[in-house]
Amino acid sequence: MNFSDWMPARVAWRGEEPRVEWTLMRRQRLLDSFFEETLQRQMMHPFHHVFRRDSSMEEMVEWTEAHPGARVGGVIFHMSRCGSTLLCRQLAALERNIVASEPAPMDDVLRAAMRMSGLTREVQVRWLRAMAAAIGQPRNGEQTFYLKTDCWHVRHADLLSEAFPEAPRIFLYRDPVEVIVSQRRMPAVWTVPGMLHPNALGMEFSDWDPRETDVYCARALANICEAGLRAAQSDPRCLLVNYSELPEAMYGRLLGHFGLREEHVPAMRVAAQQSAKVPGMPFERDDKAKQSEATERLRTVVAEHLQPVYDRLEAARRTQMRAPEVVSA
Amino acid sequence: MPPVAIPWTKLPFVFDPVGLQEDLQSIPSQAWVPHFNPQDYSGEWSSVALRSRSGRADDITAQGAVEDFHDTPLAAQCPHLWAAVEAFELPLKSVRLLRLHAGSRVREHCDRDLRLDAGELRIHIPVATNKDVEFIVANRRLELGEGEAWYIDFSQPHRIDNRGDTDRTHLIIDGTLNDWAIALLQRALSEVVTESFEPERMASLRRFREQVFNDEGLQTELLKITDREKFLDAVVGAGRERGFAFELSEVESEFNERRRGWVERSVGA
Repeated sequence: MNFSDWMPARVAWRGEEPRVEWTLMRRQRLLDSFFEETLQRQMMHPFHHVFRRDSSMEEMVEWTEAHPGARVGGVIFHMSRCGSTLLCRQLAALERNIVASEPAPMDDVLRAAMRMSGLTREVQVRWLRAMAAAIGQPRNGEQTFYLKTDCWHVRHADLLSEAFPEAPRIFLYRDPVEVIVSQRRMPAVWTVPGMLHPNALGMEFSDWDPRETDVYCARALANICEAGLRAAQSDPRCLLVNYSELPEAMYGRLLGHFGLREEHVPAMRVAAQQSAKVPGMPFERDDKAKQSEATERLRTVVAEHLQPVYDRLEAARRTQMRAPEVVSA
Repeated sequence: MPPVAIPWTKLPFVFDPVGLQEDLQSIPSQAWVPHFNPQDYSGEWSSVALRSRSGRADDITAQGAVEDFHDTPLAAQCPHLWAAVEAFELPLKSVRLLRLHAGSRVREHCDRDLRLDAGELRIHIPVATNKDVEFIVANRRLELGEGEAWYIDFSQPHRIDNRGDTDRTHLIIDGTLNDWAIALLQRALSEVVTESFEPERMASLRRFREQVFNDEGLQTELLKITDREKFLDAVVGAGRERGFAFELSEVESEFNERRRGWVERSVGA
């Protein structure tokens, strides 16, 4: 089988057997804010239903071994609503880069253990590499693949480090009051336990209370931040980045970290002029607006559940920034 | 509740088709009424009731609670059919004969309310059929033989095409799930082997799809057509030009299944 023009769209489960469904992608680049948006648009055409292809995971592994993807040049972990989309847009402004933002097929592999009893870590790592290679095929001669994960994937940072040991990583985060205000304005699906299994967030179904949805969200975010902090402390190639440093950090301490050079900066500066999620709108810092929307109750919830880990993240980031520059590969 | 979702199973009963057909022939032709949902079928699809809400043989609606249903005069007039009904020790709702006339078809659809987990059980007993009836559930062809009894989960996509030259009539028993029925299903799963087959024209579509996967020119041609109906017709046409036997119903089924898979991809994640 030849998958050169094809892109994994999802993993479908036939009982305990995972099947990769591929969609004809040809030379299209992933330029939407999210992988999902590109796929959604693709699936408007009936062709992409009648003519999706299937393969086993092992067929994907075999094919990608013969057809490696672009080098994995970075993994972006984040807390959600903290500028990760802006960062992806900056990276995607360079034609040499492939940027996959929260691709569902990676999530499918990361959570495969929930569907499949007896899945070994070794097999899962092999599938993660193959999936990244399949998504990150150099369809237009690109050189580097960047993966922005779903926010809860930082809890699998060790697995992803094992799969992509050569890839520099960051954990991006933001003042938690602003993150929760954003989640309140437009809640992400994971804030509702029926949409994402609470296990993925280190939570239980019983932790959710319809009267206290901010508490569930805050505790889940705290778990994500703890995992981000652990990742940074156990791995010198995982940088902590605060939203407040964006977009400038991309031209400073992240430039070399992500294997980029001065010549790449101008195109990224142009991209940063655009609001990441609403094309055509300029990117604007909205911390003041978000802070002013926070109620007393919300501040209390944040103070109890999130502020302590945020403070530790900030302390660790300051330490990192004082330390001599991490040498990137 | 049964331990697993059951897509279908033959049940450990065999009834003598001769007796069943004798009863069938005794029913006057004017007793049959056309089936509701005319948009779901083409050709002729008719029914009579042995048990119905009004107790009349021409009342063929199946919805309602157990206590709403009453035997019709046909129950007593058809002793072989009724003996088959009574072999099932469950609270009965409607009992009907459904006849799909020669050359008629029921388009693919799902009956979402007919689910074991909703406590509903529908049993099919083929009374008269022919080898060219295509009974396809979840894209597997089931061969339902005269006098056999089947449980099928009709919340799955299913379609029926009577390509033969005789009518196909099934006795259809609706009831609610009780302990007896659960034990019956469990016994069927452990004792009965139920075969299913890849429908021939689906296999033909599968081979055609493989061809498209490797034919950039054809991909480009098909990608130009964005209207769904025109696209599905174009797929049938492209297949026919290349000697493939699949028809619109196969392409529709493939489209529906894949689209459903996509739309429901995150459910239960």
